[in-house]
Amino acid sequence: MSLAPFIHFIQMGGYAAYVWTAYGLTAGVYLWNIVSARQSHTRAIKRARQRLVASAESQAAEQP
Amino acid sequence: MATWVWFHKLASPPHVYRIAGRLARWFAVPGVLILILGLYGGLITAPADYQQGDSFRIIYVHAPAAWLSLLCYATMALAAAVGLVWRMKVAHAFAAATAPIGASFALVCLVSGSLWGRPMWGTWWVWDARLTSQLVLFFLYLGYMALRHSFDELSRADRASAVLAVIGLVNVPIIHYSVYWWSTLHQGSTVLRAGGPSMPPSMLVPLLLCFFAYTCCYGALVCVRLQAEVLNRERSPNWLSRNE
Repeated sequence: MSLAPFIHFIQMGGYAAYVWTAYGLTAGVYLWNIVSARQSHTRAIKRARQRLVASAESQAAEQP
Repeated sequence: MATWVWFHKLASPPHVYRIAGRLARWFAVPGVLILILGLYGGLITAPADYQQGDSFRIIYVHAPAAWLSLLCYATMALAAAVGLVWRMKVAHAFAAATAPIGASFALVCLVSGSLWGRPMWGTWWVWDARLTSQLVLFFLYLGYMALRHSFDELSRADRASAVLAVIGLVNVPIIHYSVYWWSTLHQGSTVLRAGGPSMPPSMLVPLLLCFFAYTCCYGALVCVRLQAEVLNRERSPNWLSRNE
């Protein structure tokens, strides 16, 4: 099997550095968006649970 | 009547949290699949441009990123305006959830445009109308996020940042029409132009797929971020499912 078509594709007619940098940056930004959105959601759930536990404890403490 | 019921439900944090969780999946799956299809078409099946050669393939990441940066800003400003007028916390949460996504794609648009401009125009950057107004959009996103973080009280942060978002909306039509109003190095619209798109279908279809896929991916990302924003605003979210 010849590698020539693949190498031709990678070279992008001499514009490889520009094209692949643009695509790489886009992939990176997509990845950052996915990781960051999931992290902020997970963090929000964790904080919400902590608030719920704290409010349950303070209610229990108020009861005689 | 039904519209008002729907509008009132949108103000309910548990309802919005639940709907956003469901919608995220519905947006993410077609978004990713169509993005793969669009990029395959753009990188492999579309022919090289007769003037720009293979460098034109940057359009498949550049133009949808530009579209998304404008769409995000328009939806952010609209949500901020709804939050200001109707004092709807969920609307402010939506605007806050949109900002980082819009900023990231405005950055992709600027950098990929610069990477395309270097071989085609012979320069990384020119201070012309289109490029400068897009840079202003990026700074508007950064300003919006910085302003939000500068307040300790969430309601004041919501109001101040919403005013900035609404004022900055004036930049959106300026970006779109800049290539017609001023002399610029940037080419005119490829898709949204009088007389129809200026591309053959073999190049246009992958581009349209990428536009659609980016929009779906934005939908998925904003839903997840919205869930986080809604939760952060609830003092005691008793409705939070144990399985989350």
